[in-house]
Amino acid sequence: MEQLTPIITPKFKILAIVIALATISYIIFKIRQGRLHIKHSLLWLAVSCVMIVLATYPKFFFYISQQLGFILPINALTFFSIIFLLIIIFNLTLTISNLQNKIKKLTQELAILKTKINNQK
Amino acid sequence: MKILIIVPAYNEEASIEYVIKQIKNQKIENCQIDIAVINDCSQDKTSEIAKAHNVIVIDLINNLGIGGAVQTGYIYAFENNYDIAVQIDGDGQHNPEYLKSLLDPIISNNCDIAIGSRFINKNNPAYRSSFLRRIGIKILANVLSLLTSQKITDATSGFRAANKKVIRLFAENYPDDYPEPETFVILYKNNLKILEVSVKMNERYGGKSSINAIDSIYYMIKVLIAIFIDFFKGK
Repeated sequence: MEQLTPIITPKFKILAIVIALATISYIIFKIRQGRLHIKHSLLWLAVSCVMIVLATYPKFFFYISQQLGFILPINALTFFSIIFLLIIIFNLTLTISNLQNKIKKLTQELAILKTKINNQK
Repeated sequence: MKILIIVPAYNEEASIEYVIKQIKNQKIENCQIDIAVINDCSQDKTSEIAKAHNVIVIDLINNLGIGGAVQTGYIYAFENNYDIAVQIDGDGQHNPEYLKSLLDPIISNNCDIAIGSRFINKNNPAYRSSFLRRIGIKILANVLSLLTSQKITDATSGFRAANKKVIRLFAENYPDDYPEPETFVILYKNNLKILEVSVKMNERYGGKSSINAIDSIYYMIKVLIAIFIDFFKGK
């Protein structure tokens, strides 16, 4: 096997871990404020944990990317990041469609109720 | 018989009065006719003008687009137990003189929904919309004819009369934007009988159409995809 040469410097490793930890605290802060549903937060907490793992054990990721046939580990990272982002965006569109339906129903019901009340006057 | 005329209107202050007056001029024997203007969050005086003419006005607090607005009318018709619901656009394109021609086949139980068509009678000289739009309508009509194994000539007509079965279906399930072509597939899937009736349509009485050139391309693609998805998804 070709010699793997990790290029993550200790400085960058610390930076990545700090960012990940800050993200986790911010997410927990938002949940406690009641501004983020736990359901939606799990994904972001998972992302932060994965980031910590990758920063701590870069060799592990280098190995996997090589096994999958990527010439450079960075390509694997970009590839998986983009796929992951697309999945998130798609899920957001699903949520938007769902919300749109709910808003439509609410608007219709409200309009009909208002008409009914006005007719009774 | 209780009949509800559903008039979806978005910024139609120029034409809504004319449309309401025209509808009120129509008399159908043994029928109580109510008019419900669905004001789709207009920014102009549509709602006030309609209220001044003593008709039911349903004000939507969000702009839902034509599909959501028309559906509100069907929900209202369903909840208030109307026997027939008729859609007439608030822009004056649909001539209420044809109300009787649309209602007759429903009252005599010849079909579940009667749809006003500009093209079924080849000698119909009145407004038939622009050349490109006609091609679009022709393509949609052919696709729909094929899918529903029935001759459909005017795929985009929103001038229609529906019986109770259709009212219940549309109150529950009505497409969002550009709904007319899709409804043919939904009706067909629910084994409801569609009948096209020859009508003449006018150019818009006032105001501006909500569909422009770029929108029409989007319109065709969106509608065709929607039609095929509806066709293959079952009931």
